[in-house]
Amino acid sequence: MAFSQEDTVTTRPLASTNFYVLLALADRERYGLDVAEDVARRTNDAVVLGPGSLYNTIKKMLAEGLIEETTPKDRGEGREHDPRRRYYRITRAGRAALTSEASRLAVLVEAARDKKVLPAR
Amino acid sequence: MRRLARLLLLLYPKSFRARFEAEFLEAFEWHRARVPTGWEGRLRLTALMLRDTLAALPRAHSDGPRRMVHAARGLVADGRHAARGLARSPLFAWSAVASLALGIGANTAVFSVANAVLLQPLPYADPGRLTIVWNHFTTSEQTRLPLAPVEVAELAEEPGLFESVGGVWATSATVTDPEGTRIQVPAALVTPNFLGVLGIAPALGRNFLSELGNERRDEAPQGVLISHELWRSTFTSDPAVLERSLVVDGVSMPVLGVLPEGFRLIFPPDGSIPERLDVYRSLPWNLRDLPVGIRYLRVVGRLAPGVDLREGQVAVDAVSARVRASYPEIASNGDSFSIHPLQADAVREARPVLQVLLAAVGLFLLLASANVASLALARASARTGEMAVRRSLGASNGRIAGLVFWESLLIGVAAAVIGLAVGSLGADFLWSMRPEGIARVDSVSVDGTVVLFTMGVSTLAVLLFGWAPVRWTARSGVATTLRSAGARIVGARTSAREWITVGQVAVSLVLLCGAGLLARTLGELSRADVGFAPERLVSFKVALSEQLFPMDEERWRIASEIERRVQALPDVSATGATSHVPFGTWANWSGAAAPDGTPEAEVEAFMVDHRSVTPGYFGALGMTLESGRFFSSTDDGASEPVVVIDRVLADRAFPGEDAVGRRIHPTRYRGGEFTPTPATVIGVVGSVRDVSPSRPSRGQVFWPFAQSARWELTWVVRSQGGPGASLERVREEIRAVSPDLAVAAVAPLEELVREANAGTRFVALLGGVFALLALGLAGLGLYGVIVYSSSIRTAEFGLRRVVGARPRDILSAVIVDGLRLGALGTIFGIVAAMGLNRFLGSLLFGVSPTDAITMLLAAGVLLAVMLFASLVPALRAMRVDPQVAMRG
Repeated sequence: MAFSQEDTVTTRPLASTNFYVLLALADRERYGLDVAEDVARRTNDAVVLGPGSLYNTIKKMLAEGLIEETTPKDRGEGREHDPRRRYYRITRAGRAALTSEASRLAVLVEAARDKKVLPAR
Repeated sequence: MRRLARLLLLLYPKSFRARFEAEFLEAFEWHRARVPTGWEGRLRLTALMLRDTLAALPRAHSDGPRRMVHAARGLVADGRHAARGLARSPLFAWSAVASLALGIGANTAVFSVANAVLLQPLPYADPGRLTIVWNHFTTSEQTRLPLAPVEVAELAEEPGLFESVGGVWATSATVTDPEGTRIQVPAALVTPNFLGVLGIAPALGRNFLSELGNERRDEAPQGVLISHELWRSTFTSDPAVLERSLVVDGVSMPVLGVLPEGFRLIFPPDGSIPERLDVYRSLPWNLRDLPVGIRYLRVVGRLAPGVDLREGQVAVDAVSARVRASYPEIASNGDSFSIHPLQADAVREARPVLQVLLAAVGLFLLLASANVASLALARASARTGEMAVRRSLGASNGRIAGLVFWESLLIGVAAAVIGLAVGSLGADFLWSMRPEGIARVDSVSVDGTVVLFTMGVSTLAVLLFGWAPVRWTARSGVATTLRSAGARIVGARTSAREWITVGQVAVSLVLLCGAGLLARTLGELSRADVGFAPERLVSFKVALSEQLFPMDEERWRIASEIERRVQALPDVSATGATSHVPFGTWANWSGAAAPDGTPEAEVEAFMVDHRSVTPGYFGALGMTLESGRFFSSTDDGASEPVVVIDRVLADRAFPGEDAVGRRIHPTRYRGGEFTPTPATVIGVVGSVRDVSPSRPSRGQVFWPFAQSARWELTWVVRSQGGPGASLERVREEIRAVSPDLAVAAVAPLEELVREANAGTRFVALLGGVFALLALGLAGLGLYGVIVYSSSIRTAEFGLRRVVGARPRDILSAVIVDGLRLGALGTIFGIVAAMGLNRFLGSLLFGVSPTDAITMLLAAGVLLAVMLFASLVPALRAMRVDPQVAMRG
């Protein structure tokens, strides 16, 4: 029996740092430090990406095609951009990976609720 | 804190830094803003950054291994390529390997000796804690003297200083083997615990019992310990030896034990303790029972655990102060002790010799490396085209440099392997000509340390000669090289080789000067006036042991009988005997010999060597009588005490006056005791040097043997037919006097004098060998450079000839080229030699380290070699046919 491309992607969990970065970029493009700030804010400072981890992850994800760097042309008029920074946005592959990881986590969270690890909604 | 971030950033791959450096630092600032100020915040920030780096680094470098595999494959390919390249130029490869192997081998050989002598720990238990204690007479500034037994007892009782301390005195003994043959052997008198201090237990039997300060006040243990060698020769390795006895000096003594095979006493050469002693006898248990004022023990102490040398010195100072306060016999000398590590002290005289040799071989290796560098540069320039093609085909600078370096590495490895072999042969060679004075040189071997050293030296050599061609190859750009026809860029490269040649000339001049100075020292030493005529003199020892001949008169009768009989032999022109022959190994006999009326406090200014001689001795040795008379047979035990003194003592005791007829107070040995005895001076003789030709006498006083019959005599016999000509007859005569007498230590006196120079000869010879090899290498180096540059200038020479230059002009142009380099190198060399030869200081005698004649001579030899090296290519250049040259 053959797996589809989709299946193989969903069966491989995303590294947590990658997940945080993708999540941060899910709603809009951001520069590196902005990503770190977003992650820290969303996790109530439980996850703080150090500079090495942050940019190393960004570098790898660029190479894997999960995110891409935007050019000034890509950016819409009127949005505030600091010209000295490099901005990244999520690619289609990145969004697919994010979605599948989020659903995988959702399944797990559901299982936790069933087992009364978390209070029922 | 920002510096930390920058430092950590350096750990990331270059590609990462290029892209993220600014943002990385910005993120760092963000983190810094999030932590509180103050040290706690700093700590948290540091921890965060370190954790972050540890987490991120492995992933950041995750493509590293793949690149390394790739690089390794490239390296192996380059290596194979380099090997093929070398195989295509066997002349280059072999001359490079040979000169480098010679340099590495010389270093390995000298280092293996230095390693054995200076670095290997002594073969005793926990040798780091072993120390030697010397006595220093503060009133007369005499150092490195032995200690009195009572002083050893005091040292042993000082709490917290030594775990154990013992002393040894070397003497000789006559032993009788089972066949009844008497032989004289080196023997030791030791404190009962002496071998225990060293941590040596007998291979068979036991050590002497008891310890210092034992309350039993009986006699010395009457038994002997014998060496493994004596056990083998005299007892034919009989395992039941412990039930047998050995007749020592006519007394039968039980054998208590046999020492381990190869056991050696390792003492400084000036300690007068031979490495191998065959018979060990023990001093009484209580050292305080022994005479206080006689100092003869060489003292070895094992420091208590945790006590260092400085604390040890403080403690022995306290002991010597106490000794001075409690013993009036000792107070006048101002005995003061100094403590030294046994190992460092034992090799103290060998150290400068080995250091000079190490420096010489180091320079030699530098020279050999320079030669290879020069060869490699020439080769690199010949391959300019090849490298340019490689570069234009896309080889990176690094790759090309790697290729060139591979060649250096292969040469280095080959040279290291051959050098190690050459070195171990060389170590054997050094061993075979080792001078007597170098302690421990018996143990030379090529061990792990030596191999490690050779590897280090070889690596150094590869770096030294490898960098030049690599750097040069990497620097020459594609465009320049492809454009040029070769000749135009020669200038730069030749100048690198020229500088190397200048350096080689300078280094070989330094070596030449050093060797020259040592050779002149040897000459001075052999010409030095020792105060007597050693030619045709043979010396040998005959012990008149106290056990066999306890009475002074008996010993005197035997000595005069021997003298009379030997003198009567047809071939013998003169004979006589002394207690201490010049350049002999017998422990010195020294004491004060002050003139009448010297205040007690000043007596020690007259510390001189004491000797006891038969009437024929002065004449036989060829000493000069300056005033008064020699001894005669009437100066016997019954007459007034008389002495002969030497010029040094005469000048000190009676400056500007005639010493004959005056009275002095030397020490006399009589009736088994040393006692100060006033005596009348009847003669003054010229001083004799008796330790080294370079060390003047420190004053000597001679007793007639009839008045001071020591128990050991060394005879000197001058024969018409050369030393030893009538030795057999002499032996017969001695046996005829008494069958109990044994002849030992037969040696021509000239040989004894020569042996005193052995250390210098050893260094001079090796220095000479290295200097000659260096000269050869420098000559070859210059030759190579001149051949190369004149071949480049062939066209120029042709042109010159066409416009009217004579062959002579070409000749002189090339020679001037060579001499210019030679002269420049000579100037640098002389400057360097002036600075470096100072370190030869202690090895030189009769010649200054900056001796102008030696330097000029060395420079002359060097320039002659340089002239010759450039003459050959110059002659070739001169004969160049202008037409051919212009066409080429």
